Amino acid sequence: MHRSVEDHIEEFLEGRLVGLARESFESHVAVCRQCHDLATQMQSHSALLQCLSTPAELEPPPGFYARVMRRVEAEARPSFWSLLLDPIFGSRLVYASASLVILMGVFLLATEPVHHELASTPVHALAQPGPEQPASPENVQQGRDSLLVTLATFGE
Amino acid sequence: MSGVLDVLSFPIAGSANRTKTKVDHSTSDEALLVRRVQAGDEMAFRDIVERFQSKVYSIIYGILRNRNDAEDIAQQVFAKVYFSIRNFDFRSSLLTWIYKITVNECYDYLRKKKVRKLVYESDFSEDDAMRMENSEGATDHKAPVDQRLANRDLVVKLLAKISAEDRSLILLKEVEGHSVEELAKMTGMNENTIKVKLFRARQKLLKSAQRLLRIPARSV
Repeated sequence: MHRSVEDHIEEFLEGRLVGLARESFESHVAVCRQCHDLATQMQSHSALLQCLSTPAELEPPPGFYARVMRRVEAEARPSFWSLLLDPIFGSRLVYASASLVILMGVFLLATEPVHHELASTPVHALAQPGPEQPASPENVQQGRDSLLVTLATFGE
Repeated sequence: MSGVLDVLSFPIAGSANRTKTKVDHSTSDEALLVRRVQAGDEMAFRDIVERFQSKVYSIIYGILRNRNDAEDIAQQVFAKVYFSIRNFDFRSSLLTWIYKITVNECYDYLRKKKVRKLVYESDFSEDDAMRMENSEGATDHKAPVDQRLANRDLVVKLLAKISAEDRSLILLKEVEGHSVEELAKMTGMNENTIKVKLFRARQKLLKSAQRLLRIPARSV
């Protein structure tokens, strides 16, 4: 598309191209195939677009404003998900959740009972300190026996 | 290239006076109305609805040709106007702003419903057919309804291929019949910008049409 046609295509399509501008436009499209084709195509598209126009302005059914306001009210009511997306509510929810988790953790640590677990493996059994008993030969023998029983029964 | 001007018919010439005045949209009556709505005056919003409802309804009906959908989308348009009017910055006229919202809502609706064929038999009543037959805006009065429906389908598909801004501009120009000067006043842009934007939008439409109809590109 050449500049002279590009500059005046809107006036041409509007039907307002007059005088020298019109003569120049006419003489150019008479010799330039490219501009002629483009102007013709744009003209036919312009006509085609008229199919979207309505013969006269149409009125919506009565009570339209009331229905619009009902929709506005429905959309203004915040949903659960929109509350979550609200930044202020969201940050408060995060702080509250974090505080709750910390409180629960503290509570669990404070109330956890201390268990003296029985030795369940040989390693535990060896690692556990022996009872505070006088080291008599019987006690030493008894300790060895119980250790041997633990070691022997571990595999079963 | 003899006789090309016979093919390229010149439209009837109109007035040639051209203005380059820039309109201040922040001091008009409409602006006062908008400011009242922004301040929370619901009666002012009612005024806006009543002032633009038939325009909005007609634009939607022009694109979709279905009264139920037109009503539903028109409600959505005004709900959107209600919630976003506080962001209206007076750079364009209120009509232009509402027009853009309306056309965007129509195309959002079409995208969501993935409507390929715009007018189904169930939607297209005899009343609609008669109205279309008698439509002054129809391209060719003697063209059968099927042809007009196909044309509408094509136009809507082509318009879907260009940006929302280009689409609104083309529709304001071609369907609403506003001149370049009027568009410049309505949008707050200068006339040359409007011309360039329109020209590019028209080129895009032609390219889309060539792709859609598989016409070999020659001159665009």
